[in-house]
Amino acid sequence: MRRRLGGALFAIALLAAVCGCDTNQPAQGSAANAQVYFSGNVASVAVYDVWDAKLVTLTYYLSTPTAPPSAASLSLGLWCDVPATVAEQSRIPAGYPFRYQVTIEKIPAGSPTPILLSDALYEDERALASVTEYDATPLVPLGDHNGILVSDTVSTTLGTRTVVLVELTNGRRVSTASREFLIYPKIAQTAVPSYGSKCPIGGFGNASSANAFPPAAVAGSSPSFGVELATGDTIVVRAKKDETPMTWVLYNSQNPPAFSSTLVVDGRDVSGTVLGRTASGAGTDEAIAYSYTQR
Amino acid sequence: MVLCLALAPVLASAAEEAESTPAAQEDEDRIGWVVVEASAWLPRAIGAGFDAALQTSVTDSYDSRLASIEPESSESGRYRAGYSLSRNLGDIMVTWWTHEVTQRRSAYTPGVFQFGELFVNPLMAGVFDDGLADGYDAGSVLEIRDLRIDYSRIGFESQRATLRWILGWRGVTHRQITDATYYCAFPVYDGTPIFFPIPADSVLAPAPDVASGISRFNGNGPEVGFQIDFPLHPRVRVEAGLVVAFLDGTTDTSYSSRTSAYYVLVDLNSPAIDYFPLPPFPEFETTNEEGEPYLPLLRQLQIPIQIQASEQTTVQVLDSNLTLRWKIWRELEAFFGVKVTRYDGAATEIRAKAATLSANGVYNVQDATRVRKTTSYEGFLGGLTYRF
Repeated sequence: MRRRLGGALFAIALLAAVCGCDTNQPAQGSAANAQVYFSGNVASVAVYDVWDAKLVTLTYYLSTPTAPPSAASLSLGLWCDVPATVAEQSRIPAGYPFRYQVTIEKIPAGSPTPILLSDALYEDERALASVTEYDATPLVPLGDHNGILVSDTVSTTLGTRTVVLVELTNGRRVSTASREFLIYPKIAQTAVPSYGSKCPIGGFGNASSANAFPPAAVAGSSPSFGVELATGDTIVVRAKKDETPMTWVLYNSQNPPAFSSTLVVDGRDVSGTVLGRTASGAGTDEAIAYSYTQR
Repeated sequence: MVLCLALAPVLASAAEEAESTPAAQEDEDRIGWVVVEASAWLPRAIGAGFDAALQTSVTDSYDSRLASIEPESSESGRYRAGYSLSRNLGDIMVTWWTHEVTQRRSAYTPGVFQFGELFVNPLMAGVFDDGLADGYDAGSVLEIRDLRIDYSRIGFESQRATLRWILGWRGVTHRQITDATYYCAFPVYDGTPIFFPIPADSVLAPAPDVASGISRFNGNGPEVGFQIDFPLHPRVRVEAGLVVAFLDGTTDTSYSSRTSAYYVLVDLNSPAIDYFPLPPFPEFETTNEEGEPYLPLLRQLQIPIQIQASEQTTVQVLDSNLTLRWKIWRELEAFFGVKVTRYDGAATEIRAKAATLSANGVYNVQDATRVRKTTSYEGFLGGLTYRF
């Protein structure tokens, strides 16, 4: 009888030892896929007809009128003209490019410490390597322009006739929010000589290098920045507009561009439920900051 | 406890074997017996709770709950050794018990400021100076060392009960350390976030509010009590005891708190404070009348408050137990029961009660409170005693 009792007690002790182990198990749950988008918008954007301009100098030798002239050419960039009708001179763009600084962080569930997910490069106000979508409206081809005669002079002393003209080729209709328009140097309407070009002054960020107009991307990821969120994880997004965008040359609206962000989690737009602000004010250096916790 | 249960079948077999052999003759000339006892106590510290935060409901302002850290039951060893003199000359026993329990609790809801910062000084607590945080991490460490040296002797004996009186000395060290850190992971005030500079400026990142408290009592003094044995069977008895001790000692307490507040400098060439901005601190993204940004003028003021105190105190200890003892083999006893030890006033909590902050950033503590707390250790006890 006592042996049975002892055996029973031993079994209970063994059961207690097995069942009494630490039952802290990692939380189970599937991760959600969050996508961060940014966009810039204005009421309307200016539209120009542009051609690739090339300054060509043709030299004819009067002593040999049948011989082909010697030619020299110099690329001038884009030459602009304003569309004929007012209705054609502006349009609502699909996207408006705007450079900005951005940080995207994740605060893991059960932690107060954010983890920076985006590269530090995209925080740099000098790099401003993140750009909202350009106007992606398909270009309207215009063909070649007649060209502009600059001068036609004859030198009896040299025995030459020199013709200088601006050749205008590859015409297309673009908006000032188009990357096609932004990346090229342009003959500004204030340039001397301007050759009749009506291109607006300066440019996007006042930059002259094509490097200033990278493809649209959010912290190096296009078209959106993806973050994996487990239950309880929080994503924190902060962004700030370029402080010196010189945007006034890029649109013909009095209203500055609106800068906003959208957060999509597993295909559902949750921007309306985030904490903070997803759209900036009108100022050139205003910012966005918001957070979202996956439940 | 588990060890005791695991050894049960072996001990039961041994007791059976002992029953089958003639009982050993006790040596009448013997001076006494050495007694050793080892037990496992599973007490829970009642009254040592620590209110870390007040969790307010986002939807119902009347639904606020204290987020308290209550020490959980944890096992610790309790050891006794001594000498039992023959011919009822009494027992001399030394009892040693040490116990430590550590608890932590945390919660984070970035952007939702629902945790009231109970442990820090309220002066400028919370990133928005409203005493609220969107996350906290708090902990409590409770340590006790209890040493008893007792002399006991039979005062009354009958067939139904044996009463022993107890006189002794007791030394206790009791320490409680509490800490709390309140975070601001994503500061949003009424829907408007603080627009911190990009890249982040560590000077302007919201510093967490932190507080910690330490209470340490060290004292000793006499104790007196009794113990009654009720035999139920030649091998089984119930033991009930009560001991009271009065300990003279010193209680050292300290409290420190650090909160912070944003302020705007008069200008970059002067450390003077112009003003303390109001939430949500538009100064982070706006300019002054001259069109200059406020951002370079923004700073964060740290408000550290520290109080220390030391006082002579008397702590009363009340020790009671009710135990079932079973002689399982010769002089080997197993026991199991309930034990309660109450330390009255062993922990003291000190806080800065009122603090002020002037417009030029000077802060001052105007009052402090001290509250003495009682901690009771209550739980099951089991072990083995051997006499040889």
